[in-house]
This record gives sequence, structure tokens and C-alpha cells, in this order.
Amino acid sequence: MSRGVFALTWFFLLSMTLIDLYAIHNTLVFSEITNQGTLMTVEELFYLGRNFEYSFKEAISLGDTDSFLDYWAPRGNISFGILVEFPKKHCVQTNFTFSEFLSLTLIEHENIILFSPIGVQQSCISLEVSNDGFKTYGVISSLTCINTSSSWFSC
Amino acid sequence: MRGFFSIEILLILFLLPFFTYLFESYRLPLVRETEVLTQDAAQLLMNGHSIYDFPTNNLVVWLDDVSTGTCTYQFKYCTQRYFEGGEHTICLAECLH
Repeated sequence: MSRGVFALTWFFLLSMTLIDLYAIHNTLVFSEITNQGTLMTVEELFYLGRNFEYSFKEAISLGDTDSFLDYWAPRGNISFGILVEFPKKHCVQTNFTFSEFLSLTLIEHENIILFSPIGVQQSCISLEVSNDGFKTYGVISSLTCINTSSSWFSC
Repeated sequence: MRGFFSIEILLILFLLPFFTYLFESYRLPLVRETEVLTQDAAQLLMNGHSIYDFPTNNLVVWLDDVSTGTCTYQFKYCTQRYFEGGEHTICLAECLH
């Protein structure tokens, strides 16, 4: 083999190694960022569900339940009724209107508002939210205690 | 041989960007870290803290359209929390300097 051919072969081997290293590094970084993006999508979905739960407590303390429903209905599949299939927390829709449902489930006891069961069955309000193939629920289920002095914390 | 040598020199020049890539100290955007800091900041804001309670030397925090300052950053993360009568957008970025 003449010297020039040997040098070219060596060069191509070196260049292919460098290019492969670059490609591997690029793939690792790209997949890591994609994985982190997926995690964040899921976390934001969880916080969306939690925002729904917080806003219900505030709506009750302000007596503004119509705005609550108007705000959240376009954000996901909202339902209120009987809680079944725990821990999936699936709400089975009742035939009541939302205000009728609240008049049945919200009771005041010693200046504390309680979200109570309907008869012997647990009641619930849920919002099903989904994004990018993931799904979760924001759920308010009886026996939730809503303190009238604070819109944020259960008592 | 002079022709071969010229071609090799030319090809080596093409390889230079790959060499620099191997030896440069590249700052990766700390995506996950920024996200976790944003979630912590959001929780503090929900508990009644102000955006001005956060350190301003290496962080910028936004609450809706109000920010604690400006700086150069690679990655900004935003999340939403419900407090004080509505959903608020909380964002955070780590400054590069």
C-alpha cells in the first residue's frame, strides 16, 4: 500500500469515529430532553387537576359556583354525581343540575361547610383532563371539609 | 504525492468542527432543575410569598406579566396555579452569568 492510500484510510477511520461520537452524544441529549418534556407534561396535568380542586373550595366560600362551572367545563370532561371505581375515582353523572347537586351535598356544620355523601353513596365532582396521551382527574369527593374562614385549606 | 497531501489537508479542515465539539465545555440547559425550582416557587407564591422574596442574583421569576428583573437565560419554565381568585402563570429562569 502506498503512503497516500494508507494516510487516507487512517483519515477516514478517524473521521467516522468522530462523527459517530457526535451522533451518539446528540441522540443522548435529544432523548434526555424529550423524556424531561414528557415528565413536565404529566406534572402540569397533575397541577391542572389540583387547580380544579382548589378553585372549587374558593368558589364555595365565595358562593360563586356558576362561574366555577363555566370556567372549568371547557377545560376538560366535568362530571358530578356518585363516586365509583375507587381508586380510579370515576364520577357517575346524576340527573341533578349542578346547583341541585350542591344543595344536596353541601351541608353546614358548626360554621364549617362539608361536602357530604348523597345518602349512603359518596358524592364527587371530577374533571377529566388529558394531554399528549396522558390523563388524570381533579376530584372533589365527600367527605371533604371546606373551612369557611379559609378558602384554601380543609379543616 | 502532493495531490494526496492537499486532499488530506482539506479533509482535516472539514473535521475541525468535530474536534472543537469534543473539547469545548458546553453548558447544557438544566431543564429538570429549572422545572423543579419553578414548582417550588409556585408553591411559595400560593402560600402568600411575593416574587421579590426570591434571590435575584441568579434567578428571574415571573408572576403573570410581572418579573423580578431581566437576564440572559437558556431555558424558562412556566406553570399555573390557582390562588387569589384565578389561575396565575408562574415562570422561572436561571441566568447564565
